[in-house]
Amino acid sequence: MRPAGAKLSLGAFLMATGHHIAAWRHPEAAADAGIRFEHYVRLARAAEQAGFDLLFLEDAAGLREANANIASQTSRSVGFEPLSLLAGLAAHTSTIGLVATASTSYNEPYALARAFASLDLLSGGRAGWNLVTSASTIEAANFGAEGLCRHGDRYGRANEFADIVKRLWDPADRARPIAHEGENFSVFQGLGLPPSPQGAPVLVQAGASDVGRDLAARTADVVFTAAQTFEVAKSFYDDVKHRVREAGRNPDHLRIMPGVSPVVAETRAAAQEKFEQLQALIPDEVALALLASYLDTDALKGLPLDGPLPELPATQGMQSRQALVIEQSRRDGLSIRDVARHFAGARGHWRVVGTASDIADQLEEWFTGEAADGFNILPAVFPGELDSFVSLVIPELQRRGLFREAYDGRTLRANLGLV
Amino acid sequence: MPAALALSGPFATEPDSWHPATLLETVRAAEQAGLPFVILPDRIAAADGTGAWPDATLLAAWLAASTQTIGFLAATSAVGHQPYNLARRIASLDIISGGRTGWFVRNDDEANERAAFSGATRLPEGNSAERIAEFVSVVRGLWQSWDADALLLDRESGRFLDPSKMHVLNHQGPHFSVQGPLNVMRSPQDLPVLAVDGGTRDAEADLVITPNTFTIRGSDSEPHTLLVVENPAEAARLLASGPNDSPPKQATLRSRLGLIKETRS
Repeated sequence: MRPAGAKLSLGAFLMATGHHIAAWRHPEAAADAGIRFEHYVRLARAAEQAGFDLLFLEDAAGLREANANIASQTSRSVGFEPLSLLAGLAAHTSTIGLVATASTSYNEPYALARAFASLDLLSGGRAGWNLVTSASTIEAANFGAEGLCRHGDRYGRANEFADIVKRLWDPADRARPIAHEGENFSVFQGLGLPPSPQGAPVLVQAGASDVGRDLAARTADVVFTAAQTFEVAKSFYDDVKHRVREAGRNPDHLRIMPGVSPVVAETRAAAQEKFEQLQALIPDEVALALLASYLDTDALKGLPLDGPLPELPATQGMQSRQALVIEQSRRDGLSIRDVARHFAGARGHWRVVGTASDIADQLEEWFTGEAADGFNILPAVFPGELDSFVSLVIPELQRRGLFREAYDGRTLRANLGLV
Repeated sequence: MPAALALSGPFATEPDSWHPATLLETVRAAEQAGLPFVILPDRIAAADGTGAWPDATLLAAWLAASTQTIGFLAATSAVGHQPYNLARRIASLDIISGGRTGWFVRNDDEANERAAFSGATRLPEGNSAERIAEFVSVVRGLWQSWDADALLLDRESGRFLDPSKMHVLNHQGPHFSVQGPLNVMRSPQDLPVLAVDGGTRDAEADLVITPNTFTIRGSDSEPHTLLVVENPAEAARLLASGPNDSPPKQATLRSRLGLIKETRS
């Protein structure tokens, strides 16, 4: 059970025109928002005004879509590099946390530790690093020859990388050289930079695999995750908290925050209409390409979009996703187009469509049922759906005593309750 | 051309050395005085743990977000970086600043960089002139990944961009193999400004920087003054007594330096 008065954490996951794949076509979105700094300043200030714990940015060191025809119909081929964007936003905000994603596969631990320590210093103790490993062949093609990812497996490298970064960040080790000689890296230098008011940047992780969960349990302060049902979220939560205990840490020192993409309006009908308006903007080709990639299959090519989903040969590691999609399409009598749009919209994240009270009910259920310590909010369209969440859902969460009225402190660690 | 400013000296060691707040005060004063740009050092700690500055590309993003007209050059060494990452960082910084930034390619090969960046295994040849030249050429190529009019933004047809205006680099060299394209849009000043020191040969560099001067390619070829300041008090003194031009209303660093816009096919 949660102690009385426990508060949930909220992240504002910023992304150009919105998390919905067709957000850039929405009449209320500025189509080129993803390359305009003022757009992000506007979003960052709105999120800070509302008391969000942190801003979150994802990352890829390359295009997200190799097929030029599909890429030309989506807005994700060009954007900002997250660390420079957050350094710029640090100058326009004062309290909200600033979390950027960066891969252990294509960086050097010393350079990455130094970059986040710099952001931490400039922002007065508000920086966080979301550790990811890269499996994308598009990214790999941008880092050939001298190559950074030669030895060991991705997670072996990530484990060693995280340990080096944490040592370099340790306030006690700032002024002296560390001595690290490992399988992937050798680092014989200290950071030399003074620590920020929060001591060290917050470490975030999002890996859901077995090795990813172990790495998070051992090193992370926050875990982001994708779960579409309470049961899946609860089982992930219990498993990771168990691993944290096994690693000899206090389970309260790791915050688990699933992603959720809300579409909220004054009435359920209005929310549903808003959602359907967005769904109708997804080009068939884009929806189909995303579904094929999500299901890891070529079997949809040439099939009528109004027809049912075919039987799919099971592929390694994808069985549970496939089963989920197929089961839902059979149950609800969905066509290939319906299913494709359904999955294209929220990119596999939990989606809730309804009134402020509907959405608060579900967040409250996950929070009090200990399936989540907070949520990373993925607004479908920016700034519209962030503003709606702020004006409708946050007051409802505050009324229920689930979310802060004012910031607890000035650093990210203080606001996450990690100090 | 008014003098430019190069920051030097220790960061955050004493109350009167550089700190984030005094850096901001200084660049605002330099902006008011009409200086075209400030060079930000990008030094990592020495073996004894002293001498470290924050990452210059991030410091530039933070300072640019609080200024309107002054330019920033990040004096970043290629040693700790990969060309794709550094090209992205600076391209992104350049959009944040509205086209007021550039890269001063630092080319020294210091022992502390080898010690920090797995030098023995990853950089057996050190920060060689060949590696730097290839690095710079890849970065410059990646900065031209997108034509300025590549975004169609056509909601009706659903076409966000024109793939014929995207350029894949496909670089294969001795040190790097980089496919591209960059996932950052074209710079507001066409290309971020690229500066080298007197010892680096790069025919396409926009600026050549020596310890006390900078020379602009293709214009007057006259060396201009670079004021090197060790601490905020020295900067304040020099800016109070130095040249005082009124700053331009809004201009990119490239146009302000009179650099001709790159033409491309």
